[in-house]
Amino acid sequence: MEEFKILFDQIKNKIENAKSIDEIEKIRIEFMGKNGVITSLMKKIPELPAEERSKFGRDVNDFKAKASALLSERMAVLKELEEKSKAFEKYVDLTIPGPLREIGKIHVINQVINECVSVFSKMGFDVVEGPEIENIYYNFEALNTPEWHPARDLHDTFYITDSILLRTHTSPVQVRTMERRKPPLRIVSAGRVYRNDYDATHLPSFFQIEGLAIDKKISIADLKGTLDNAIKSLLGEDKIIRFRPHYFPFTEPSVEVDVSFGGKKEWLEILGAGMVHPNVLRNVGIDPDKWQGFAFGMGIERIAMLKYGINDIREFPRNSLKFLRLF
Amino acid sequence: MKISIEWLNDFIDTGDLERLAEDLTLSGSEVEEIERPFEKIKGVFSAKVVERKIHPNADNLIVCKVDDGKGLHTIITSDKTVSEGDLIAFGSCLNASDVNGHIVESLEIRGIKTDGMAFSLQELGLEAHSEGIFKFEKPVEIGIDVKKLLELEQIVFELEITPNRPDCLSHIGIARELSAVRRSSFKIPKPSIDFHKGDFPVFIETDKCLRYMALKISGVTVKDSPLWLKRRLSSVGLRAINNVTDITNYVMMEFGHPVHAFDLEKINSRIVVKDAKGGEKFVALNSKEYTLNGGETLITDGENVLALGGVMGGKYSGISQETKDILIEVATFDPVNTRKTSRKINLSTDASYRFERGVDPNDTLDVAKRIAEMVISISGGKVDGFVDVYPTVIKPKKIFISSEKLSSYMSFTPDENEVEEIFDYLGIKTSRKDNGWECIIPTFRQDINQDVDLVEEFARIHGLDTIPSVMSMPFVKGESNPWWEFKNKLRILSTSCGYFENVNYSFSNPKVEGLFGDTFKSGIKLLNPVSPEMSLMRSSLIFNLIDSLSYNIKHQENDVKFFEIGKTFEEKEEERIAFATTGAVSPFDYTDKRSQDLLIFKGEIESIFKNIHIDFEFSNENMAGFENGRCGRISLNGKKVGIIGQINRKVNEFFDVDTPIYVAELKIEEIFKNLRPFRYESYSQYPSSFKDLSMFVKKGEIKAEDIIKTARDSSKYVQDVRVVDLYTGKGVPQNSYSITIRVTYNSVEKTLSDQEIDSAFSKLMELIESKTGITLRKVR
Repeated sequence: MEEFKILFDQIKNKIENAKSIDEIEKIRIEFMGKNGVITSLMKKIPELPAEERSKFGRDVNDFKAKASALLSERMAVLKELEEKSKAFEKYVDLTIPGPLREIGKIHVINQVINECVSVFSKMGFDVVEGPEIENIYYNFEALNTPEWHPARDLHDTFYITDSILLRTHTSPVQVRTMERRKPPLRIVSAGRVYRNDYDATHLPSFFQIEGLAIDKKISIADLKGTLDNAIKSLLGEDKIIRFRPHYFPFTEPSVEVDVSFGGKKEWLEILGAGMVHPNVLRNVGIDPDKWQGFAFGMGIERIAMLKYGINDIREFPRNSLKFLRLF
Repeated sequence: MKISIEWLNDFIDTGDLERLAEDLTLSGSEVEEIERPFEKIKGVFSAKVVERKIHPNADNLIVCKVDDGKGLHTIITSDKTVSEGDLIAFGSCLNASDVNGHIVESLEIRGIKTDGMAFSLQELGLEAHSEGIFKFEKPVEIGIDVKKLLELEQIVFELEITPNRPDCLSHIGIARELSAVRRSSFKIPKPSIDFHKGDFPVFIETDKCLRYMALKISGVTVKDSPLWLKRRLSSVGLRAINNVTDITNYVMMEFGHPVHAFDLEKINSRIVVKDAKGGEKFVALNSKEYTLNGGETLITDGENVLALGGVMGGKYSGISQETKDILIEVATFDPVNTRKTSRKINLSTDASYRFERGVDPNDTLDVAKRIAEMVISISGGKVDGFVDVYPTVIKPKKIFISSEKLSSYMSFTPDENEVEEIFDYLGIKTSRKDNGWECIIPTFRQDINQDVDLVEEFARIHGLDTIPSVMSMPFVKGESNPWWEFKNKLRILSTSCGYFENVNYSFSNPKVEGLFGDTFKSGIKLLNPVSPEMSLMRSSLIFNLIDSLSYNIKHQENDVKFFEIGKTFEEKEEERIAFATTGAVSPFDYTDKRSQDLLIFKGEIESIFKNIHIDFEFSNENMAGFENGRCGRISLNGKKVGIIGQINRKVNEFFDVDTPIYVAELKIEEIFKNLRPFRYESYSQYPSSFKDLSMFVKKGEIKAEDIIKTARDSSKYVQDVRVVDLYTGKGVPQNSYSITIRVTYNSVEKTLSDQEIDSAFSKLMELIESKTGITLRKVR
């Protein structure tokens, strides 16, 4: 029908000249919307004589299908064009630094403590804790350091009363644990200790980790093996340790342990250790003829300083964000 | 403890220096430092005075021309004893320096310029104070290095001697150690001199003096010590005083047994050793007067206090230039009492250091003979007899050590001959018995009391290096530590909210605690704090957290989020967590411009604990140190577990911080006790419906908590009630805020119908209106 042809050319022309998706949409509404040209043609169908209806209907549908195809085709072309033109609008420069959600850090002291605890717990040591305010018995006497013993000089002690003090080492936890748990046992205890000594290289309060192993046949060789393994895990497989005889009232024999950094000639003292003194075992009711074992203690700050090359011990209590962020 | 290598060679061949240091260190006497006490002396040569004139412009000065073999030099001295022909120690101003490293300078004194100077013994480090310049007594060639001529190329080891080894506080003790390490012999001086008993009355009236020997030597000449003696004393850090006193010090450094010399003339014909009653006054050799507390050991002559036994001699009875006859004391004092005395009067001496560690009473005769020998050869005089009072003879201990003990400690079975050999060199006599040895311990080794002490002796001399490194310990069933894990969990959660962990001192400043009034019960006081600012044990973590926050602001860190887990000491020792924050909420997020504020901060704390299924209750409560209306308590199951709030202006000013500071502190021990084991419950598979409700709430009159609780309890289908908007400002009545809550309806059994939801929501609105009196504003 001529009428459809004219109409089709009209719509085709409009579609081809459409410059935007909006225009296409307008055309679609103009022809196919509720009151659109094609819709009104469809509405005419019932009014037509019966013999014309079928053909007219086919022609309208045919026209509608062709027009729809043209519309979609043009739409696709225009969408592509629009996408191309908007390419830079949605572009994100991934080299722009992202807005950061700053996540905090665990203090290096606790990072090192946790690392030590994890190293020792792999060797079967349980982690235990004890009070920071201690009495003289647990801090000294139970540890074979009676009053007026010159070894007390090595501990500048903070006192609260004559017999209550701030623990000078984590060793009281050994005694408390042995009172509570029967051997065999293997524990590490980490925490804060206090010494009344405050200068560029000494803090009045610092951290220690202490280990204790009691069993039937524990030897100095086991102590060596344990510490060797721990130091290698903490400071690197290339580190070598050496035992040097020393004196602590609560161990016999006692040793200081040096670790070599770089050359074998350069030794740095890193911890104190020894076989638990029989008097200490007796004090907690353990028979030293049946049980023996070792104990060791080291300074967390010292380990951290060696591990990271920190040269000022006062950084640890300073809590400068500039320092805390580094770890 | 300083050991002179020259001196040590009197008893044992020390050999290579590096090996010597290693041998000592690895046997327990750690070489802390290798010192050369005279190393700073440089460019000092023997020279002859060839011309001596009075300074033309100064009567009290002498101008000399000296010849050092290289030429003539001008010196000026005030020492008028100098004469032509004297051999002196000359240092040129071109390159010479004295024992302290002071460089000789060219001076111009009243028109005459010097080329150098004549050294005195003081400048050579051999005397504390010199009257005049040093002159060689015997002829020497000129132009020779004075350090060679006077044997000043000395080497000294600074040793760390542990408190259990007083025997090593001496050259002989160290020689014995070395002889054991090297399995080679050493020799102790055994003077053979005329030594007979005398009749001087000595009484010991205390059990704090174990032995007292008085040795009379008459007819001595007190003068300067010979150079070699001065050199040795000076090398080990002692001051030369006079020949008699120097000999007593020398013998102490040699044997480790402190001895004392009295001027016999000052003693009222007897010695009485007794306990101080208290109140006595005593002027010691250091010219200081001490008032005694009672219990100190006194050496008296029955009337006067002559010395404080084991600590220091008295000034009155000391040796002077006029002294002719002397009384030498070789005594042994009780260690504990010596230590108490030294502590109480705050006087520590070389003598007290040794006596408080334990001096062997059984070397008394050897020591006395050595002194007598030296006094007679250096100061002249003759032995006038000795008196020895030794109430209870100390006998050597016998200790049995089984070879099983030895091998169980060492992890190998030591060679029996080696065990005996090592003990023998240490002075321990062994005899084989059963499966081990019976050992006789010499009395100078008071530290050896049990078999394990002998294990140590063997181990350290055998060499700890040879003990293998093994891991052969049997399996031990361990215990977990949920408390430790809980704290670590809190650390991780806090850091994930942007908080940095602090480790502050646990001391606090009473001034700061004062700012918080009765919010915290005052911390525990230290008897001997390092400073007044650190004199309390903190009653809360927040003081030091704010301090460290303030430190950071002063160092250009304006956005701070800190937390700390640590002990507090309010009434009892208690572990807590605290948070402190100021500045931006998210400082590195440029899309988030929010500044920290009380609700945001509260939300952070809630988030951390919700993660571990802890839901706190919060309530407003004014507290000292905090802004009124902006602080309150945190409770768990109705029990107070903490506080939260904004610090008040006074505290801000104290810490010099301008921005608002928010802090919270929680009793984590209490919280830990309330942790319930987690139980899994399946979530609903049916869709939820959401209803929003906005209203104005008048501050202080209606609690948001009540609104939310009412909503939550309004129907069994309410699954969640949350705040989705909070607003104050335009359109909101004064002192009110607008809040929008979102109610989630859900059932685990079915999809709820619109009717069910609408009816539940209507009921909810009614309940809120009736319970809170709020007129609801908007329904969506």
